[in-house]
Amino acid sequence: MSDQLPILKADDLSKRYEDGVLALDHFNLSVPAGEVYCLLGANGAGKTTTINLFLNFIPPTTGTCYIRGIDVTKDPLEAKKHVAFVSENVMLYGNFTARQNLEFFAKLGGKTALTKEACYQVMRRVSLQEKAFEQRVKTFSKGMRQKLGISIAIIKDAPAILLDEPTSGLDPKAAEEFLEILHELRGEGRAILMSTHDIFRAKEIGDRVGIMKEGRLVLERTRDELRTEDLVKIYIDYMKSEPLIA
Amino acid sequence: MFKTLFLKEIRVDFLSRRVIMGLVLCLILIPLGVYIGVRDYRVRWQAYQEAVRLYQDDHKTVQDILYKGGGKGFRPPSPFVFLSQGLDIVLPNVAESPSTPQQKPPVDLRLNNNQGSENLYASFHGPLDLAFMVSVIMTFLAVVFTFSGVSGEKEQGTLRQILGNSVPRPTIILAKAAAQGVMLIGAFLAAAILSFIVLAVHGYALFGPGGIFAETALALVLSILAIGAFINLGLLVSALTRQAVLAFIILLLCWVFLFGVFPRLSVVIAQLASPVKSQQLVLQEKNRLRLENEKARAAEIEKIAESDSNTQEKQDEITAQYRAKLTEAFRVLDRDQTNRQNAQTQLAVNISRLSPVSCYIRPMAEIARTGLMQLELYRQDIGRFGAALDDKVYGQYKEFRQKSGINVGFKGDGSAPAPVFQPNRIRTQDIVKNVLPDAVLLFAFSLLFFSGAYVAFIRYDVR
Repeated sequence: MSDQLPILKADDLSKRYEDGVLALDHFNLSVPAGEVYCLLGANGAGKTTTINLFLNFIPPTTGTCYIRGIDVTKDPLEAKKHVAFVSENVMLYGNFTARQNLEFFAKLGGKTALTKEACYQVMRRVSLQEKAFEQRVKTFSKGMRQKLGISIAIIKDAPAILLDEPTSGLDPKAAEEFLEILHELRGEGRAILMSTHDIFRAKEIGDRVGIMKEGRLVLERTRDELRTEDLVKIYIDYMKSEPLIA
Repeated sequence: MFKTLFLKEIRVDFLSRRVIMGLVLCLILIPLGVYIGVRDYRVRWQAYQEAVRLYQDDHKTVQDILYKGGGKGFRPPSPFVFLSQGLDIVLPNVAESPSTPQQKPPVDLRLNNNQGSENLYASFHGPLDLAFMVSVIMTFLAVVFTFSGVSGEKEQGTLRQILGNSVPRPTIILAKAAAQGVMLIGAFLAAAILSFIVLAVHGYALFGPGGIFAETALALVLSILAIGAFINLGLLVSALTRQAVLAFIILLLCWVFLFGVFPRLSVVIAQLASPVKSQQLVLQEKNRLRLENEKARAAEIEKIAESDSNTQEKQDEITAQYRAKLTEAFRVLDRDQTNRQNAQTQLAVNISRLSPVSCYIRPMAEIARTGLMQLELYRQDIGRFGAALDDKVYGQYKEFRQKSGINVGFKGDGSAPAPVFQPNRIRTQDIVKNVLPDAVLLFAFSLLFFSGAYVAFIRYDVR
């Protein structure tokens, strides 16, 4: 783990929903600048809950989320200035063109004076086809929407990026292109937290990989450690093991 | 931030097929409705003028009233019928005194409605006036525009995308309400401008004597408040649901209940809570009173006729006393009946005010001078006309009873000009005073629904 101050930090985070389900149980995490942290886990393990808590979509039962040291619950608007978000299914306005969507979300992200060319550049960077720039998004494939989603995250120029299963449903080529973009963003010093089911890509891109089960972080491995360990086997063993809470 | 969100809402709406269709519908139907209303008014106005002319040509003197079928008072049609036909088609349009000359005062004026419709089928569905356009079309469009405002964006996933940014939730809901308001009210005002052109072409003037500015401005304000209430209701339901389809179904049910069911229920509740005697019973009661009064009067005159002090003056004095008694008894009976009717009507009005649609429809009729105020004013006008007929015509019949029999004769001036029915016009300030509580209520509904939508959206689970 890096010695730098973490951009994303979860401190003893727990979340119990109104129906009594404990989605997150004393969860701790920190992601410094220039690091990709992959959260692995089965459905219901608490990955998306973690991201929802970082975005203040739901309040934590206990604990705190920090983005650049700002308490997300206390000052969500200030905290969200420093984070960009790409969801599993990037859903945008279908009747808007790619550029119009990009412009709109860029404005929400505080980039008010964007030129058409600046929008095009970002879309070129994520390898979105040139002819799609002025096409309505409702005609886009999932891969194209994901690319546009990541371009929205890039244009915000936030130090932290939250990705909620971004490669789910993408074809191998599109997923590969997606990971290349993440490499670049890591190189720019962004702290990236990615929840995923994809063990292979987590191993490939993640500087650290955490395995979640029943709301707990049950295992964490660094890239170096994973060179000598079989992440697939570890993951499957954990998934097969006895429930943590009887 | 507000501007960005507001413009996004407008652009999304402008690109949506349902919204475009709604706007086109509104731009076509409202001016069309106004045109039909104006045409209808012209036909009725001509019929009214013709009826008045024929009657006045034929009834120039008191004698004409006595021997040419009695007196008549015609109610002129309202030029604002394009705003709301209201009760116009069911209100009496002529009051007639009985055709037999020897009526004993107080005269019972019969209220008739002989306004035939060109096409009876129209009566099944009602008119295409502005009140219908707003209460049905515009409120429905408000539902169509807003049902997916929050829940639709949640389902679509764009709400998460927006809230992933540093965007205050209040700004989002405010931008949604403002954009929907501007879109729908903007379309409505555009339709209103087209309607003004239709009115101008048909000789209506906005300002000056006979100008329609005050009435139309009031109607527009009330319409905007009603549309606003439904926009905010749509946002409220949308912010309380997680699926746009569910929001739409709930809103449709609300719309049907508020528009179709609740106002009718309020009438039934008022009838049960505050019953009123039927008009038939009141007439029977009047006949009974008249017979008793006549019997008592005849008995007293009989006594005098047999005495030495029998004079015309004495009999006239007794007749006048009994007429005064009967007039007073009728007045009490009528007042009691009117009070009961008014109490029941007012109860129904007040109960129905729980629906924003009712807060719109009745006041629109009052603004168009086709409502309850018009009925009340017409009753007063008829009362004055009846009194004039009693004074100059029917009260001039004198009878003198002698031992040898009764001598009846008209003692008034038969060649005197016949009393003329003078219809009065409701003052605009009285209309404003009458509709103000409903306007305030509509604003309160809007505020209440928006506050609900605001609170629901602040707590909205965006997952």
